[in-house]
Amino acid sequence: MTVQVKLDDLLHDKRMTLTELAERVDITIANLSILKTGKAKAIRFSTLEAICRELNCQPGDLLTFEDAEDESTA
Amino acid sequence: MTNIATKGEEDLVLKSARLLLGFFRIAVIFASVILILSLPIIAIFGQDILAEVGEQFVNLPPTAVLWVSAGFVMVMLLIMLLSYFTIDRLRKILASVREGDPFNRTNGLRLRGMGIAIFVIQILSGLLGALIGVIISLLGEAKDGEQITVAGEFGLSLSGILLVLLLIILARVFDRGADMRDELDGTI
Repeated sequence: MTVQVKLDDLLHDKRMTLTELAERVDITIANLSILKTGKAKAIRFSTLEAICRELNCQPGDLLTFEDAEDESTA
Repeated sequence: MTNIATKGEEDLVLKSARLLLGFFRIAVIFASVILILSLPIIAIFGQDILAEVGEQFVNLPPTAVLWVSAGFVMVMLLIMLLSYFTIDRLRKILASVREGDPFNRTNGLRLRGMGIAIFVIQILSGLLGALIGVIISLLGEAKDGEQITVAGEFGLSLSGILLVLLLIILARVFDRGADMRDELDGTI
């Protein structure tokens, strides 16, 4: 998967736990876990908005695109 | 209030369909047992039956009538088997509707299987019509000069072909539904 979810890093920076975020954005921990581990197939704008609001960040901070070729040459 | 009434109506529809399919399943099993039992009866008492039937015809019918009749019974048995398969798949689809998860790949496969089974039933039905024709021609002319008429229609029918098409198209719809369901399940 070339789109990486940086939720773990953001949570670490904001000193927030996954449980706390789950409560704030009203999404189950199970679903946030799926998002965190990069197993989600898609993300709703509403989810993205809620996470960005609570973590005070931009969508680009949460999602980054990493080219597979760049990864292999790096 | 309207929603509750509609839901109640749906439940009634599902319940009626389940009961009806249960009844059809028993009827198919019953018919299959009779057909299976008729095969040894044709083998053992075939000549006696032929002699008795022969009294109503100008010439004594040939033994080939028995062979064709046995073939007729076997084709009927095949149709019963395919009907059971179809009813069973429909019952399973109905159960998945009751469980609230009908849009899955298994139901797509079931519908496709039902479509193929009904298509084969249509062809076998045509074969039954041909076998009846052979039996009538083998029996020859009746003593009272009356023509033998056969109740029921055999062969390909427009409604049967439409049903096959409907099932195969519905199978595709369910496949697409299953794809969408997968996508939705993976959406956070």
